[in-house]
Amino acid sequence: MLLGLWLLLSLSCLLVLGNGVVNISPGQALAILADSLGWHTAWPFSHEQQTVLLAIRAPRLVLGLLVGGSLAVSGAAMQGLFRNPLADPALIGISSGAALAAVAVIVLQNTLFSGLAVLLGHYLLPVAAICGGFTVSWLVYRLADSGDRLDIGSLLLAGIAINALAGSATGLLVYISNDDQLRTLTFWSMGSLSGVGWDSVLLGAPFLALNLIVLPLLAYPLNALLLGEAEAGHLGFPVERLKTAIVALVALGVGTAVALTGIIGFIGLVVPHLLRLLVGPDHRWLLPGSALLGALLLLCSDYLARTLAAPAEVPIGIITGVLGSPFFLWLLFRQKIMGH
Amino acid sequence: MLIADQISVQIGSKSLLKQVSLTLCPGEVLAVVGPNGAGKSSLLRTLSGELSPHSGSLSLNGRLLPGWDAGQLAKMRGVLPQSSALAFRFSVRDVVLMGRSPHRKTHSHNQNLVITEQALALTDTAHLAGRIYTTLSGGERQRVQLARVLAQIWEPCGELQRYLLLDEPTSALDLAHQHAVLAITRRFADSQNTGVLAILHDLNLAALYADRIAVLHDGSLIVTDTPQGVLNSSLIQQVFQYPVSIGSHPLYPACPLLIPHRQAPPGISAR
Repeated sequence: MLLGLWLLLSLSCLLVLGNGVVNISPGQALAILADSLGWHTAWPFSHEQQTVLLAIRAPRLVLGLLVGGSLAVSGAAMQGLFRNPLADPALIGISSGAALAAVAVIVLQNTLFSGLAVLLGHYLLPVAAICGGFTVSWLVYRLADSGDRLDIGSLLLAGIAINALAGSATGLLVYISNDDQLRTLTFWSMGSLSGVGWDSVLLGAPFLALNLIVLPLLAYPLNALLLGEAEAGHLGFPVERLKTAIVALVALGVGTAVALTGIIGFIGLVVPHLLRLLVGPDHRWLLPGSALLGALLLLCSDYLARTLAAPAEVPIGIITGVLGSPFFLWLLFRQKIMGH
Repeated sequence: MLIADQISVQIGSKSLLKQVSLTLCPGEVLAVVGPNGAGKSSLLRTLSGELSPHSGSLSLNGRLLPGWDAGQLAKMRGVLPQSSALAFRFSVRDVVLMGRSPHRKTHSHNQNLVITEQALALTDTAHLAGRIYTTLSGGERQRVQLARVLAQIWEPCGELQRYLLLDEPTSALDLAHQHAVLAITRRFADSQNTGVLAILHDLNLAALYADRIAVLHDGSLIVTDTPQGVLNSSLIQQVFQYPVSIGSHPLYPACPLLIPHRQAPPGISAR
């Protein structure tokens, strides 16, 4: 199963690298990659193809893989933490916090944040988004933390309340924005991988990779957590540290993803769900599988986003939403029919 | 030995346990009985480390409880909860295999699988191994959870004694399985020299299988004694507020048998 996903993902990478306004065959793509590693092949390719692949499509592909994988793994971990298959990484407030900060920057850039804008340049938006995301997540976490233990029920409720509050504040800022700003923030709030360069990849890769590597290592304790918190404790797992680590890793991964690519919905919810139907609820398979399938889904969504209306781009959130919502509704109705 | 020394537990202003002292020896089955709300589950949750006593101390195998590391503790103490919240579609075999997670670094996956199968066989759940846990009946789930906890402390933990804490292990079971579960734990206690503490509601079941019975009432331990010592009509009547007679078991004369009186229907005075 995991091997199949690997193969599918590698194959899609080659196809996605090749397709677009400038066409590059999979063979040429491999030749260009080999060439950039100093290994010359007989396969002919043009200079234009090389530039497009290495400077535009490759960084976009790499960031897409990392972000998609990270969102899906975070979703799987959150669903395990909440023992609820309908939980979503957005629950701990990271996305709404990032959105609030990003919208604030876009709308107030020329007034309140002009000094910062000069200092940080085009890093201002991602830096603000990640700060906003962390602040709001931290707030939600503190509200659910009763000193010696983290109450998962309170975490859920605090998350909902704080999300609503951040949503209202975002709404207010949207209300006072002008048309240009509105367009920018609309695009941002639906997510996009357009214009991603190696600088964004380098900025985000360490955090996304940490999330992608460490969360799957928590498979055993996450399995035990599904039995119940007390049961996991009796099996010798440090439950409180575990909960904090999961929240922190999810905040890190999703925060970075949102900061670099805007809000891309549904991957965190739908991918783990789909995989549970395929491989069962065991986190030893679910977590790495989610990483691969999340990466694959975002890759395909991004491919559709940049080719459907080429040379214009459709926001990626629209694509994942169109693919994700009907599936989500189907899950809801299926649960309703099954009675729980 | 598992020793509770003068433990008291309070939540807010409510006192759940009042200066309870208790010793669980290796190889013995100790039944904890008492009316609803007497503090039985609080006692078990304190012994299992879920609740921390605000006074008194707990020690396990000669060391105070905070001194043991969680992984070590998991190898010598299994805890069966009253009901488990598992809502994900794990197979029964996988649920029991989770009991082996404290041993995943010291045992191969195959060794753990073998022990899982043995625990399933012992609890009469081997035929359920491939089923999805969430589709089982309440009684079947309870036996699978018992298999999980037995698998957890299946083999000797060096020189250290092992303990099993069971919160109403028979509450969802039919007559035959109630006795099967207690016979399994009795045999596990005897053959593995493991100390078993079980919360039970059925006093006759307690008398048949336990070495000693501890009676909790209103957060205090009233008495801990052999079944013969505990099952006397005045004590039971006083603690449970219900009239009973005590006879003896027709097959095992040494074992007392509790016979409840009939309660008069409301509005009609008893003869």
